Amino acid sequence: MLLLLLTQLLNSLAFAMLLFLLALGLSLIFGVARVVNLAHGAFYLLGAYLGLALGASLGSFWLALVLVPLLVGLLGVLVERFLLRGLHGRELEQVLITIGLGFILADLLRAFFGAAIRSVPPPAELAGPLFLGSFIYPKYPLFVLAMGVLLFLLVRLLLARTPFGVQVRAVTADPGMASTLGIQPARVSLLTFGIGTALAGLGGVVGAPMIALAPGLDAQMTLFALIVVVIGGLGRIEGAFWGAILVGLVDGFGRLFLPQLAMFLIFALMALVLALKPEGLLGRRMA
Amino acid sequence: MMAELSREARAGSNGRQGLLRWGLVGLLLLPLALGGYPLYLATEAALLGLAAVALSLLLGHGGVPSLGQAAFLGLGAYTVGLALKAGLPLGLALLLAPLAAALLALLTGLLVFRTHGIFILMLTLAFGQMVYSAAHKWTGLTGGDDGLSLSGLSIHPVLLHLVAVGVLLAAVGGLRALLQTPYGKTLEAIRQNEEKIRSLGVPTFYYKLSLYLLTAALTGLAGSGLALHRSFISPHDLFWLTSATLMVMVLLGGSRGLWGAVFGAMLYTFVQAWVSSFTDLWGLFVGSLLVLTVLFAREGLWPLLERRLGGGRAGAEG
Amino acid sequence: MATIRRRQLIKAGLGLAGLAASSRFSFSLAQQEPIRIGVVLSYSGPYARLGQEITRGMELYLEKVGYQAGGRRIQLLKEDEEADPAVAVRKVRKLVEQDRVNLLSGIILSSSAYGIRDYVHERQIPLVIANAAANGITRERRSPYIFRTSISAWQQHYPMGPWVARNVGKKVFLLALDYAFGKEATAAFKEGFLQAGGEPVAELYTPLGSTDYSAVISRIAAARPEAVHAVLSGSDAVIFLRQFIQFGLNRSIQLAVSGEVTDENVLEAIGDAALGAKSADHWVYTLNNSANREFIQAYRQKFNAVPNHFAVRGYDAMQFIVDAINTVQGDLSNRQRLLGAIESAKIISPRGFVQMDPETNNVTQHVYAREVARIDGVLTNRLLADLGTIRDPGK
Repeated sequence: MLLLLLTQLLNSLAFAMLLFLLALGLSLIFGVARVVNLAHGAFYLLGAYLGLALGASLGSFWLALVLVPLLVGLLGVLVERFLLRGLHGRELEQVLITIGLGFILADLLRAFFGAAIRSVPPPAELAGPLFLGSFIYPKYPLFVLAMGVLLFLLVRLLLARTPFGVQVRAVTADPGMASTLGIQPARVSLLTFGIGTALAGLGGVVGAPMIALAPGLDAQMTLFALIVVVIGGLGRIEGAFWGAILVGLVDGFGRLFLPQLAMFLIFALMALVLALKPEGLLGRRMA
Repeated sequence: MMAELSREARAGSNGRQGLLRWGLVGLLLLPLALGGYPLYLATEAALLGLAAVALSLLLGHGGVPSLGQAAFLGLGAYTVGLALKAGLPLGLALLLAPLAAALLALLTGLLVFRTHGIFILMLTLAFGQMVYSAAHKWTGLTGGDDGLSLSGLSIHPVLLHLVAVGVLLAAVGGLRALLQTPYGKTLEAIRQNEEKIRSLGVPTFYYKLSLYLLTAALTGLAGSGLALHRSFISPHDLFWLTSATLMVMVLLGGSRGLWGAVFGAMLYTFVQAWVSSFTDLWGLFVGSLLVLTVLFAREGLWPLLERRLGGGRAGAEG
Repeated sequence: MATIRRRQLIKAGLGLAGLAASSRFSFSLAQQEPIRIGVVLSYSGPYARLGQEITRGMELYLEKVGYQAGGRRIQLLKEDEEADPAVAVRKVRKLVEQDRVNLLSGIILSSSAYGIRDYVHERQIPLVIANAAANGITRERRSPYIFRTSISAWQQHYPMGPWVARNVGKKVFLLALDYAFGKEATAAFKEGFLQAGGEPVAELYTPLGSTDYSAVISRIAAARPEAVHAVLSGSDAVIFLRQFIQFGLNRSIQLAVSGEVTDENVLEAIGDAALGAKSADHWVYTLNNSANREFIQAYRQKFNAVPNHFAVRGYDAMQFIVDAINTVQGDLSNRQRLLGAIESAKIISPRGFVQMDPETNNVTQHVYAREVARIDGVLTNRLLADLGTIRDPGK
C-alpha cells in the first residue's frame, strides 16, 4: 500500500510538472500581455507533433527538445505581432481570436498528421523502468519531474535577476508605470508571448512520450492549463507551480481512489478555491 | 436646421436598420416555405439564438463572461425530458425547465459573483462541467451517455418553429425594453464602472445575480425547446464546448444590442452545417471566420452590417 | 358532339402515348438514377480515425463491385457525425430530407444510434449500423428498419469470459472506460467469466479521454491479478498499454483485453511492446479464408497500411447493402422486399461466417481469441482460438 501511494505520488507530480509547463506559459502571457490564450493547447499539440516529426527525421529526441520550442515560439511571436498587437486591451476580442487560432491549428494538424493516435517513445536513455529494491518506477516521468522543478527554479531566478525579468515583472504589475520607467511594454509583451508559446511547445515535446497524441487533445490541455492557472492565481509563476502540483495531486489521487469522479473533483476544487479565494491561491487582486 | 437634418437622417437610418432586422426575421421564417431539413436547421438556429441572446445580454450588457451556459441549456432539456417521461403535461414541463435552470443559477451565482473577469469565466466553466459530470454519471435518471429519447412525442415542426421564432423575438424585444428601464441602465453603469456604482450604495451583487437568473431561465427555455425539437437529449449538450459555441455565436454576431446574437446563431448554425457537409476541416473554416471577424469587424458582424447596409452608426446603439 | 368525341379521342391518345412514354422514361431512369447511400461517421473529433477506417472499408468494397448494384450506380454521401449525437440527428435529417438518400449507414456512437432511432423508424429508411455497439440498439430499442452488421458489446465480450478463465487465469482485474460501452462490455465479460468460475479481483472505471493511466496501473499492481481485462479505445488504449509496459507490469500480469484495445491502429502507436496481449474480436488478420486474404491484399495495396476491424466493418456493411440491392434488382420502391433482402443477404465476409439474425437484425458471427504478433513484418493479431458462432440473445 505504501509503495502504491509512493508510485502514485510520483505519477501525480510528474503530470503536475507537465501541467506546470503549460500553465507557466499561459500565466506569463496573461500577466504581461493580458491575453487569455485559449490557443495554448493547440500550441502544445503543435509542439508535440513537431517533436514527433523532428524526432523521427533527426533521430534525436534531444535535438527536437531544443528546436521545437524555438519554432513554436517563433510562431507565437508572429501571432502576437500580427494578430494580437492591434487588439491591446480588448480582452473578449483577443479571447475570440485565440479560440479561432486554436481551431485553425488543430484542424491543420489533423489534416497534416492524420487522425490516428500517435505516440512518441521516450529516448533510449530514459526508456524502461528504474529498479530501487522492490520499488519499480519508469525513468521518463522522473525526468519530467526533474525538468519541471529545474525550470521553475530557473524561471524564478531569471525573473528576479535579469533585466528582462525585471521588465516582465514591472509590466505584469503595472504596465502604465512600466512604460513611464522607459520599458517598452509592446516589446516585452512580444517576447513574453514568444516564450509562453515556446513553453507550450516544450510541453508538447516533453508530454508526448508520457501521454499520446490525438486530435482533441488541444482543448483538453487548454482546459487543464486554465484550471491550474486560475487555481494558482493568474500572472504568478509560483501560482502556476503550486497550482499545477495541487491539480496534479487531486487528479492523480482522485483517479486512484475515485476514478469515476476524477474530473468532477478537479472542477470542484477549482470552484472551492475560487469561492474561498476569488483571485486564486497565490493571486493578487487586479483591477 | 442641422439638428433637424440629423434627426431626419437618424430616422432614416433607424428605418433601414429596422428593415435589416425584418430581413433577419424573414430569413428565419423563410424555411417555413421550404419545410424539411432547412426548417429543421432554422428551428435549431432560432432555439440556439434564444440561448445566444441570453448570453449576449449577460456578456455584452451585464459584463458577465459566462462559459457555463451549456449547464442551463442541458438542465432545461433534461427537465422537460424527464417531466414528460414522468407523465406531466407539456405546459407544466415547459414551465419547470426555466425554473430549474434559474434555481441552478441562484445556487451557483451566489459564488460566481464574489469574483470578476476571467475568474467568472472559469467558475462558470467549473460549475457547468460539474453539472455535465452529474448528468453523465447519473445513468439511472438521464440514461448517461446513451442519452434520453423522447419517443412518441410529436409536435408539428411548423408549429414548433413558429413558437421558437415567436419566443426569440419576444425575448429580444422584451430584453431590449428592459435595457431601457432604470434597471437596465443601472446594469449598464455597473458594467462600465462597478466600483463607482457600488460606492453610490447600489447593491450591484443583486443586480448581477438577478440578471444571471433571468438569462439562465431563458437558456433553460431554449434547452427545453431543443429537447422537443431533437426528441433526444445527450450529456454532450452540457459539455463545455457547447458553452464555447454559444459564446462564439455571440461574439461573431456582436455582443451588444442582442440582434447580433440572433444573427450570430443563425450564421454559425447554417455555415457550420453547410461547410461540414463537404469537408471535415470545418473547424479550420470556423476558426478563420472568427479571426477575420475580429480583425475586420471588431464589434461583430451584425454592427458591421448595420453600418454598411443599414446606414446606422456603431452597433452599440440601444 | 363530333368535336367532343374527337377531343376525347385525342385526349385518350395523348394519355396513352404519355403513359407509354412515362413508363419507358421511368424504366430508363431506373437505369440511370444512382442509388444514394447516406453515410454518417465521425470525420473530425476524437473518433475521426474510426470514421476514416470504416469509410476506407466501404469504398474498398464498392470499388470491388464497380460502384454498381442491381444494375444501378451507387453513390455514397458522407456526412460528419462530429462525435455529437445532436449533429448525427441533424445530418441524418439532411441526408433523408434534402439529399433523398435511399439507405443510411455508418454511425460511430451508440448515442447517435439511439438519437436517430425514432426518426429512422418513423421515416422507414433502412439503416445499416457499421459500428455503434450498444446492446439496446438491437434489443429493446430495435426496429425493423435498423440492422447492425458490426457487433454488439455483449457479443464481442461475453465469449471471452470463459476462455480467459480457462486459458489465462481465474483472477482478473476488470478495467473499462466509464461510459455505456465500457460498462456493457465489462458486464458481458463478467457474465461469462463468473459462469466459468472466474473471480474478478476488482472492477474499475476510468474517465474517457484520460491523459494518464498511472493511477490505474498502480491499482492493478497492488491488486496482483493474473490478468487484466481492459475495455478501452483510441488514445486511452494507447496510453494505458504504454504505461502498463513502462511500469513493467507486462512481466507479471497478462493482458486479456477487448478487441478494441489491440486494434491495429493502437498497435501501430505503441509498437512491439504489446506483443503477446490477448484479446477477443470478430475479425483476425490471420483468418485463413479467401475473402480475408483478398480484403487484406486490396487494403494494403490501396492504402499501404495494415487493415483493422473498423475497415472490415465498413467493408461488410456495404456487402450487406450491395447484396440486398442485387436481390431486389435495384428496385427499392418496395421497402418490405428490401428489408427482407438485407435480412437474408448472403455475404462472404473477411470475418468468416456472418449472417443477419432476422429476430434482432443484429449479425450472428464468430468471435475469436487473438494474440498480438508480428506477421509478415506487420504488427497485428494472430488467431489463437475460435470461440464459436455467437448470436446476441436480443434481450
